[in-house]
Amino acid sequence: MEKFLQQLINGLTIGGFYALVALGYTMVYGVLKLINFAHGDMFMWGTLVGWALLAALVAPLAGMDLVAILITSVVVMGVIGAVGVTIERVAYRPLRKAGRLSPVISALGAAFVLEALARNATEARVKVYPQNLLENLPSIPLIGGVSLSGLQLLMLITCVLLMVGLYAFVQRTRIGTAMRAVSLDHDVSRLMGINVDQIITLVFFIGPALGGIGGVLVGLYYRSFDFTLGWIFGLKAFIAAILGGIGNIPGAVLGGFVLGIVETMATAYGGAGASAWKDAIAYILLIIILIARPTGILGETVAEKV
Amino acid sequence: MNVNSIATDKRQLSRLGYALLLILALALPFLGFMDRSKMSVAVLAGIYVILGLSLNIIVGYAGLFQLGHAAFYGLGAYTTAILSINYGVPVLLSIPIAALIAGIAAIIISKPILHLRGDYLCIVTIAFGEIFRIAAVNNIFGITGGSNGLFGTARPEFLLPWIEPIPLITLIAILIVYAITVRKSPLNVQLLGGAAIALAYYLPPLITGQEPLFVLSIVMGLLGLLVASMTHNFSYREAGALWGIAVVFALIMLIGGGNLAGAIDQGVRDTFKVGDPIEGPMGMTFVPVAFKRDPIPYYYLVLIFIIITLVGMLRLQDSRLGRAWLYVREDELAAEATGIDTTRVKLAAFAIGSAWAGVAGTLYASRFTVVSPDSFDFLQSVIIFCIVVLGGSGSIPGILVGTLGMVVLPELLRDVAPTFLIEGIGPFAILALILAFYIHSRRQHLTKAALEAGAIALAFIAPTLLTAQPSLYLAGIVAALVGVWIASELNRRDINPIPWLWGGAVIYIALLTLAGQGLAQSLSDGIHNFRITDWRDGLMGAAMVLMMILRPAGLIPERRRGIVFSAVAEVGEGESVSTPQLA
Amino acid sequence: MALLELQDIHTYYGHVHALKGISLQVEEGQIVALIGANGAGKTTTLRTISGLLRPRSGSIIFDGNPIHRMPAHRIVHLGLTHAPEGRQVFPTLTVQENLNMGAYTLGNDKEAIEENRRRVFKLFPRLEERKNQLGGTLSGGEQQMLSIGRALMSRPKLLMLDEPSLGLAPMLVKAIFETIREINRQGVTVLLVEQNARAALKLADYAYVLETGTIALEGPAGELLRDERVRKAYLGET
Repeated sequence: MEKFLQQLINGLTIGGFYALVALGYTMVYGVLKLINFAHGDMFMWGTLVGWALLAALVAPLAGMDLVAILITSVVVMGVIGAVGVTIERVAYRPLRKAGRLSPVISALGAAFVLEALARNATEARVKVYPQNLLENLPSIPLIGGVSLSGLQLLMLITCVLLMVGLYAFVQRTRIGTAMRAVSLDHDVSRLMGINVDQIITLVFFIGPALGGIGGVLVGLYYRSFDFTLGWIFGLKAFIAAILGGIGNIPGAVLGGFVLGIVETMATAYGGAGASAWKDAIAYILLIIILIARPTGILGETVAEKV
Repeated sequence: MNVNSIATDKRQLSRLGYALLLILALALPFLGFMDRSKMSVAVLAGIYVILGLSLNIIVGYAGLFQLGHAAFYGLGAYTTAILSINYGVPVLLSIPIAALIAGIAAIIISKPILHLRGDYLCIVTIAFGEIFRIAAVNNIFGITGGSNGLFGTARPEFLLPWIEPIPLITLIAILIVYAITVRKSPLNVQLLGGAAIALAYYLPPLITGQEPLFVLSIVMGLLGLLVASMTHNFSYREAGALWGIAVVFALIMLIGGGNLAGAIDQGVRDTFKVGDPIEGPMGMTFVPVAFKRDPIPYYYLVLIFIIITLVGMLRLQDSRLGRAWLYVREDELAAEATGIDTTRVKLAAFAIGSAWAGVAGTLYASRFTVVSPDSFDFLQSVIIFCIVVLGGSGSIPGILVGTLGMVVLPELLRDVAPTFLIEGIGPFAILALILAFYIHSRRQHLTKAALEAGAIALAFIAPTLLTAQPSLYLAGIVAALVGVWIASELNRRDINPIPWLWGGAVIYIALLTLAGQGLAQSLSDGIHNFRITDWRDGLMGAAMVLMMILRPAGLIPERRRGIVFSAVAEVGEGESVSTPQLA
Repeated sequence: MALLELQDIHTYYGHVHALKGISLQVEEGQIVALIGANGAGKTTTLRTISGLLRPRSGSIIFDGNPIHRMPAHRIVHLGLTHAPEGRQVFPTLTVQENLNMGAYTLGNDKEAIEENRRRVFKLFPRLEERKNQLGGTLSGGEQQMLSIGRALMSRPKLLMLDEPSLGLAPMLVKAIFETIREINRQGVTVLLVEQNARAALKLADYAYVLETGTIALEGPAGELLRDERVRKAYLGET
């Protein structure tokens, strides 16, 4: 029971990361019906930029870890958001009317470019986050020997706040409603006077910005990373988005947590060989869900409009 | 000229193109600039051509996403390696087994997911590809050798039946095929051409008295066959051409035939491991022949498979199944409405394409003798996918071009330092390329385009001329690309770009001339320390983005066959049942 | 000067030459009908005016502004709205949110939006009853009301309606046409595309007949209603 609870907490934390990154996939898919393969690498760039900034800020802001992390997060959101906007402008916008295959190639190409840049920026080595950040955050003891570390709590709160904020933005504001309208129909949205290109640009800012912050959290949580992080983590986050029903914001969050928990549990209880197969769990889960429910857990059951 | 004859002319032309390509492919190992390492690249490229063609069935014909093709390629390779290492099955015999296993796996895997919409299918195929890789890394069932893979797959070996007199039997076989090929021509023309083939066939050993020259005989016979089959209408002219070839050939034999014999004998012994003859049943003798590390025999083996694949694909394209794929790709609902079982049709595409990827896997395993999970990861799937899409999805020439771009070019550029970007004619070639693309896109306004291109060219060249720093060409490349982009954007908005471009060029030149010394130094350092292997994937990615922006439909898009019934829907208002007209 | 004026408009769908030189005028305060068979180019004309399609040549002047090269969303700001064919309400947005999208160009001007909403609810009381329902769950007639109401939310000068009667029961068609007249009475100029030629001509002040991408005939609606050729081809009389 204790083990179970501890694993649940770990799963929730990791699930929160998946969810943050999944949001970017799902929002872009919503407005463009495009799998943004570069998103995972933008997330990884969030980890990378976060690492560089924290390494620079740790000394001048000694003892004020939270301030350093806050500054880092804000800057990373801006930088990665800008990267997202640039990629949309360069690699996706010219292909809006080019059929289904070309944007996929272009997206993969953009991902390769980002990854190669990161490979050379890190000299293909594993990079380690500053060691003693937030070490003195209190742990919160729960039942028995189970405890929620301060870092985990902080991360969960951050994830939940960002998701609730995004949901409120999309549901309650004029621009958010316009975003939903654009994801339903570009032409009709134009007839409403909505500048569709502007909305898409906004989506390509918000999604990568959230992914970038996810990258910083992942860096803080695992303490080290290398340039290949983006592909595997990104793919799993995309799977999380599909699990929940792509294009659907609560779905992405749910899918993220489901994937995080299932993966953690399966590794913890799956016996000796399970950790070697850890990365396959997400894929197997994806296939099972899609066979059982082709539009995801929260996806609409109605058939696509033809 | 009616439409039909234009079509036949076109067909004739592409037939001629294919014939030239085939001759070039056959002669490739003997061209002066080909060395052993380049031949190895050619073998690898050949395997990718087969992979591209196999994926083309799934992506190009049936219009399905498949980003996990490397899994089936790997399945074939692992099957061959396991059969060869553990059970001593000769690799050529394992080809059908590899194909079968890959095909069956494809059916089992794709059946439950075929109903998924495009993007879901895309992600599920990626997932399958990754599961395959993870399974191989984890040494599933204890047979895949874990992350190191399997070593020691045998090289291809076969038993050459040796029936005396083998030259005569070969000649008869060639003549029979020849007779079938030209059966529509008058008998005397047939006889004339046949005589030329037979003569050319017997010339080398006859003139020189050297038996090994029968190898050349077979080449000559096949060449004659090629000439006969490539022509549309075999007449006196073609038969005469055969005689001409025979005479030229005889002259060559008279002059240099003697020396050739020794060289050929030596060459065969160098490339192949020839064993002692084995007595078979009914007095037949078999000579065991095995490949060595030399890439040339592999090259021809792969070439044979490419030809088989091509012929098979052309047949498939025109078959019932091929047309069904076309309908499914263009409009699945309409295809279903016309009674096509879309699931079966899509399943067939997956099964055939994957089985053929398994064959490519066998060739890979026997060529490299090592199979490991890394060789079949997602990057490989992407490369194969790009080969199909970059060249133009559905188009066979496109796949050849795609392979050149995705496989051959990166391999050849592996050791090239990018100093060519700033030396010799390199920078000018790049400038010419950029401007050619730009002017082509503005071909309706040539004068304006020339003025705009002039500004870009000046900005490109002037800083280097003024400062004598060739590394500033690097900045020039960036500037030219930015200039082209600005010009197209301004044109799109109906703003005359000429003053902006010239203004920008002047400012750029002034800046670089005044302050370019430091920049030139760091650019020069950068380019000399640049290691292309570090940037391979990145350059490939940039090329992928660029290609798609410039030619979204691929370099050599498929010529659309048949009627595309979605065209009506695009018009928006649909077809009218009856259109009233004012009297 | 006319509120809307098309000069020799040519529009292509890929290689299909859909509009072959359309010229027409809509005078302020009028209801102008555009009738013709399926595939004649009626919807294409509206989509070209509203900027969803870009004409290859020709000019469109709306309220003194050339709009033929303007992106669609900016044209809406000038006071020209388009209720598209087949209603096309946002199915997963509520009625309220659909209407808010119609008022997108008003920004955060809460008062103006509220006032327009009241006007729309007065025209279509059914929408007020269902304001928290999702657009996709409405009946066909209600969706049509929502589509028209949404197009009115920005207080347009010119409202373009594409087949408002399509797929509706005859009773509803009558009601919708009544409402269009009412909208026009409140000062909104209307450009109406209809297959139901008789109803359209009865409602309109002026009409154009489209045939395979060109204007075959034009005139005051009353005259066209009496025109021998129109009666034969479009009103089903012999």
